[in-house]
Amino acid sequence: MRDPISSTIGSKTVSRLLWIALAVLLLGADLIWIPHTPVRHVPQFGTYMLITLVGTGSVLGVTLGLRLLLQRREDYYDER
Amino acid sequence: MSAEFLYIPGLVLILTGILLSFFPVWLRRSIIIALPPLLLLHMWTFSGGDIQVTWLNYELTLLHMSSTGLLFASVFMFALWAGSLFALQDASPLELSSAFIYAGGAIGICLCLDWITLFCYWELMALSSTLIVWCGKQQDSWRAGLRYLLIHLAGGVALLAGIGSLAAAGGSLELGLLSPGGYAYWLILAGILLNAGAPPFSFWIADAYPQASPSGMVFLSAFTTKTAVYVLIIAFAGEYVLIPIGIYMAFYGIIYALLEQDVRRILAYSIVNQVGFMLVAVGVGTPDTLNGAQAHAVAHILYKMVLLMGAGVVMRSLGTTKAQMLGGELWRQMPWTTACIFVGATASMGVPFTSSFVTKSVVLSGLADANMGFVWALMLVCSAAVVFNAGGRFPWLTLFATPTARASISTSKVDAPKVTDPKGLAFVAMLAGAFLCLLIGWIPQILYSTLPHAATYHPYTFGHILEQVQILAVAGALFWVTRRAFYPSASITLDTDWILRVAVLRGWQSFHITLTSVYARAIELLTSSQMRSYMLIFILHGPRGILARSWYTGSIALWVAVMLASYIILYNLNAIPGLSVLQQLLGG
Repeated sequence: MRDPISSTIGSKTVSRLLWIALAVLLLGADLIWIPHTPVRHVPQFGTYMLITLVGTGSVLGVTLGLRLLLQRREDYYDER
Repeated sequence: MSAEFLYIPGLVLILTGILLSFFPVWLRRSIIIALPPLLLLHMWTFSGGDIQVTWLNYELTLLHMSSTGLLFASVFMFALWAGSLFALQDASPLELSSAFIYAGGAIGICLCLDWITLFCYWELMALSSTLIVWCGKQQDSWRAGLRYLLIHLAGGVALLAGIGSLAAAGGSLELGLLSPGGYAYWLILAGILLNAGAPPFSFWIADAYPQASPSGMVFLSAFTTKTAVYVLIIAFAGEYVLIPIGIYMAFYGIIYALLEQDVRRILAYSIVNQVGFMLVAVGVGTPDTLNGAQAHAVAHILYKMVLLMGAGVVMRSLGTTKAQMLGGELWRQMPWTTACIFVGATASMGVPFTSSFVTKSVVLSGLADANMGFVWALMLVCSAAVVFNAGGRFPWLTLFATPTARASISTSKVDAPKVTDPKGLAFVAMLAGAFLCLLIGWIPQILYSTLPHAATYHPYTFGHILEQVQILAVAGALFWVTRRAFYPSASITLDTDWILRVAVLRGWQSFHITLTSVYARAIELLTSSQMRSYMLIFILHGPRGILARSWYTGSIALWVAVMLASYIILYNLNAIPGLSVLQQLLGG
């Protein structure tokens, strides 16, 4: 049975808008307020979000690649 | 002198551990509840000087109170106390005894001041922790314990060889910063790094720890790797080799945790990830990063204990920690455990007002101040990626996995096993751990004031809170979007333990087969030649052998006469001309 609340189109839209608003707010705050003074030689805008996004995204990508290479059946070692 | 030994907390715990199994249950419970807090109080109020003994012309310092040692020893003591309270419900007396000896070794290392004493405690830790793994009594506990012991004894050999080389070179055996270079330096470093879970042997943590009992893993998570971090801080601060090793460990922990289906193994990989973080901080070696490494070690012990206790509660009820069997309505059935896991998870991610927020940021700030922008960026990613293991994925899989993702429990509410919050002392232990995670987060000065270097860092600035919220928001969003792509399947991921479990095993098996066939052939050859010799001897000397027969006296006399006659004839051949050649041949 579908959840009556989560299946309502209006509430979904509101929820998404809230997420987008939060993201914009965070990015905007990053652009405006954070000086990033401790770190030299890196761009001063959006650094934290950008590094996190690129870094964690890369980690997820590498993990998916490694899963194809290294994943085996659960009884792999028992058979050997 | 003997009374002085009672001032040494590590030795008291080891002695107690040896005797604990023999005590009646009521006395054992009383000791477990009262002794660690009393020893903690003793450590913080002890005003005496160092305690030393002389052994083989070496001055061994068994007790030395340094700020770093005291900090680590204190958190170890708390870990022993909370872990023991959690263990009282179902742990065997052997596991409790081993835990006391194990903790005694770890605390002994933190409070000693020479390499020889350190080595003795080090080996004691290896043996007692192996016993804890074996006490798990799971399907693979025995073999995993053997692999664990193998790795740690190898580390012990390297450490001993290093200490021996140091002594042979005339170096001081006092525990302190070692001069880089030389065999001793690298051997000791290798021995310590093995215990820290450094590559290529990072697998042992996830291999052995989850094979322990629910409480056993709580003990294991606290002592071995953190003791190694302590020794690295003391002896190898500023060793740049630790930076790439730490980076490898940090990413290794994230990636393998993402591929894991067992929630306790996810936490084990998370240990590697966080120890890597600490190793990077030690490798950079500035006062700020060293402060950060120590503070984060304390925070990590606390929140990982809470998370492991949460996983232990589930394991005690369901008998499994496979992600496919968990989730669903578990969070409804154990609200207090869920709350504690929530605190532990937020602390692991570094959510503001939890312990890691005030400790990880010391490391990151120190890296930035040391002009290590690239390392800082990598560690920032690692800090954010905790969401993918202990912070987000672990609680999600354990408590909240969606109905489409879970396998067995939620499909039938009638058959679903009942999971409840822990009761009594186990509940107190979990709550105490969660409380400390929050306390350190709210009042960081409690922790900062115990650090060896003057702490000037202020975590609660608007900028820092905003940064952390940004990091967590991005990582959290990525986790939520990709969570189904990484939902665990019934599989394993190959690691470097493949070398030990398959390559080395196969090599050994083929060597064994070759050796067996060579041995069999040699035995065959030997046996056949021996048999021939025995047959000849039997023919000659056996009951009917020619040399064993009984001869008639007349026959013997005849043969003697024949021999004498032959000799006389040959002797007289000398007189016959033309037979000189024969004479020469006969040596006449």
